[in-house]
Amino acid sequence: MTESFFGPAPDYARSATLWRRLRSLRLEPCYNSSNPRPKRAWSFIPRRKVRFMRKPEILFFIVLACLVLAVASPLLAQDDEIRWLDNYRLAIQEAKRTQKPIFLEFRCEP
Amino acid sequence: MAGRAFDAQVVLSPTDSPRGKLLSQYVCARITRMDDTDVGLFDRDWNNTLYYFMMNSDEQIYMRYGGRDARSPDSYLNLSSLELALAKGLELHHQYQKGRLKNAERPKPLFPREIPLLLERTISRNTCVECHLIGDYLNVHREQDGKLDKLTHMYRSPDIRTLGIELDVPKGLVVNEVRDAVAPAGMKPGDRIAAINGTPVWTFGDLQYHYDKVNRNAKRIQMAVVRAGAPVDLSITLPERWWWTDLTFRQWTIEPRVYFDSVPLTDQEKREHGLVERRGFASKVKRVDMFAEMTKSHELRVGDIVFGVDDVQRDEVANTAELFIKLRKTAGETVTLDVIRDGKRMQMKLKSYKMSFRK
Repeated sequence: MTESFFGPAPDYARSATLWRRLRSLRLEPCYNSSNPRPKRAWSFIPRRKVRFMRKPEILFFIVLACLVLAVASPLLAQDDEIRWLDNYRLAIQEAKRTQKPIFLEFRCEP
Repeated sequence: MAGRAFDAQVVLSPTDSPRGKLLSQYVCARITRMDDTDVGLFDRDWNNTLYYFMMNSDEQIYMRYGGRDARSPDSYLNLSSLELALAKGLELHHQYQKGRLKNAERPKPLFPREIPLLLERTISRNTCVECHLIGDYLNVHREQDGKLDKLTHMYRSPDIRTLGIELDVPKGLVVNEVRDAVAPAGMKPGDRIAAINGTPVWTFGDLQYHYDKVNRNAKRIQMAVVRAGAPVDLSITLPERWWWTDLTFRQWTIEPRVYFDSVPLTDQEKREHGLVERRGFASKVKRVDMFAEMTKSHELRVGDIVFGVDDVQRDEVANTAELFIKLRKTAGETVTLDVIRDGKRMQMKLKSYKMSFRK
């Protein structure tokens, strides 16, 4: 059994190519270590799976996460901010539809 | 900052903040171009770069929020007082929906394209219709048509501090300090101003707008205040030149710029200088602006006494020479001053300066 900086190489790392890939990911620096493990950012992915993950799979998750954030952030932002119209006629229509009063700001930006 | 920080704080109000919760009960709109705005309906002092209206879809205005004075564009802008106004606006809206508020008559529409100078100099050139230009060109047209009343149109938005009212700004129209004209009328700290000449007011913007509507020849105004929950009517005697404000920030093109300030002489000083016109506007120069030298407009010095302008020494309104020129002369006009310098009488020319906008 070979030792490395990242801990003992698992038995199933028969393929040198796979092992090199796993090492390059550096996702499990403390595996089998007696030191307390740092909290993983990838806690939603089972550790056993991470160990088997290849680079393309990780990239897939990163891209997926980015896409989810990109789609969700405007929705989240909308919930967190007041919606401002920039058209007086639209404001009148919206006020008629919703029966709300209008708060109208005139901002002259010299 | 010209209200920039306040504007940003309002626009970016978090929805879970008290202000955000109030704003989310409104349809919020922010208009940055005046091209298609009915300036007749949304009339205001056009030297405000930030102004708010609370209204409904029938274009009935419940109240205004904003207003400035010569000290600063945001003397009366305050997030706490805005929250009070927003809450009151909702209350008025509910009353309106239940038919408890009378409809006000809609002012005559006026669009920027109907102001010939604005159309010629900005709209046709596709440049921004800035708020101050609306006010300025309206006044230029009034001057051309002989309808300009400088006391009303040039000295817009009289300062309530001239009456002796100092507001507790975060609390809206709650009075913090009283002195001068309002103290003998019975106004007290803690009073909330509720109406002026019978018109209800909810914000400083309302108060300033309706105070501006008072005839400049008026000698008294009526104010209603709420004291310990009960209404109290006050009759206030207006001081002389109650309408006067510092015009520096306005940059009117109708205002003759004279580039000096003076203080009226006392009767004693007038006698000492042999001035027989006791009610004249003789005044002592206390400051000469550097622009006077740059523009070669006059050669007055600090300490000079100006006792006549074009052989006129008294005026029913003006108490200083520069106020007389601003009120009675047109911008760009050259006048002859009667001056006393080091005890010697002399005459000198003063060419007033007319502001222009590089638009």
